[in-house]
Amino acid sequence: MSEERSDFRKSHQEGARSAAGEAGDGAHPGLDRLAAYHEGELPEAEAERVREHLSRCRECADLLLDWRDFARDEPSGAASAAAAAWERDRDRVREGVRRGVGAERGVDGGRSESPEGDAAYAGLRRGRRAPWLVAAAALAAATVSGVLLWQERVENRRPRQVEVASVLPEGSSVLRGREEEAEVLTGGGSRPVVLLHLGEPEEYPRYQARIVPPAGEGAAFVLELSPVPSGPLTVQLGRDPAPGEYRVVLSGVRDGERREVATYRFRVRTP
Amino acid sequence: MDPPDEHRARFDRLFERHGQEVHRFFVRQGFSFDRAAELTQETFIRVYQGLSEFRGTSTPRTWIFSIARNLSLNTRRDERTQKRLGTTISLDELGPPEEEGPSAAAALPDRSAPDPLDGILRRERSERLWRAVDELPPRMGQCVRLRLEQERSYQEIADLLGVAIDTVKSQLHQAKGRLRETLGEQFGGLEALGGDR
Repeated sequence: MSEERSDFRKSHQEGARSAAGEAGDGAHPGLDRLAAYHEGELPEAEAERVREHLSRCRECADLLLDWRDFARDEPSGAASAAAAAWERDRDRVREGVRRGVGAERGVDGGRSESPEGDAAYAGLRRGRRAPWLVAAAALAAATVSGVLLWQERVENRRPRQVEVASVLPEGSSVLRGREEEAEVLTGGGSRPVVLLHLGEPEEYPRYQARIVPPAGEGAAFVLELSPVPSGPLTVQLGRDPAPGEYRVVLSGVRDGERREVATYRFRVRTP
Repeated sequence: MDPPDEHRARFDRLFERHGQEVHRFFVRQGFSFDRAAELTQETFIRVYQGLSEFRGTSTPRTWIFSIARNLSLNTRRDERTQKRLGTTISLDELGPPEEEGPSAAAALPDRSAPDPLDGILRRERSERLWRAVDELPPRMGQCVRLRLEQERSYQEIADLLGVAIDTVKSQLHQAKGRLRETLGEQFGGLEALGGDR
């Protein structure tokens, strides 16, 4: 959608809301009535009132579209795949529920009837508890992880930065460690990621992050952080980066003058 | 059957009847199969816990759907919050590094303030538009509001109004012509209605 079109819509959306009120056409019909409308069970006059309301009420329109997703049962490729996945997971989910209810109520001695139930329940709870950005307290900090770790976080939709070492599969080609107070990454074909946790620094109007590669491996990458991102900045270094020591130099910039605020370093080592 | 057994039997019936529906809902909401299984599990934990308080003011099906939908919305909101918090830059995509001058600026929103006069003009245009839309036949006006105000796709409009997708396109096409007659050819932005055949 073009920017102009987006602006047009935005301005008129505001106008429509102010003209008709948020709900527009009277009280919300409620889910049961919307479901009846969707199933074609309402008399035409009432259905028309629902249509008019839907055209003016985003909240109810969203609700009805979600109900459509819930109630629709047409055969399709995707639906078949989902059905197969459900067949595979149904017993595990049921056992997970039993385990979950038992653990929260303190019944069943906190034990599952099957290892699968334990795993299902534990998986769910692990995702819920997973912290994100626990290490974000400082003005800036740099950590290093590998592409395998990053991909896992994306797929799980639950970034687990501080737990990342514990979920590495055994035999992984990526190893992490510390050496002389610097993070060390060892891995073949991996892609290091630098996470900058920037907080809300106010001392300088602008900040820069400079990624300085090992000596003899070219010039630094300079990232202009203006304005400062409100959350973590992930910098992917590129595939198979040159081995050696890297530095991440954070600087504040005022009146064209740059002053170093903090420097972090890490090493990349080929296996 | 004693009460705990009855509770469990009732739950089992609901799980058998609606488990797949809930799972499919999460898949259609864009979650992976594994994630859909986890969320289905969480939904039915809540169903189990709420079953004794469920008084039947709605159908069990809409009740379970409401639980699943709230879970989906909350999960999505959490993910959006996390996504908003983060920015990713790949050095591969930045081109050659430079010793002086930035290689890239983090893609961040423009914080420039809007012009107040611009806002007034927009509001006047907007009021003219919606007055004209209110003069359209009901079905046509509904299509326009869903398209312009809610930014719905043709398919979503068709589903919301219970009509064929071709009807939606036709209604929007006609609406565009009528609104141009009313508002004038110079009234820009009506192409956002689409509906061209």
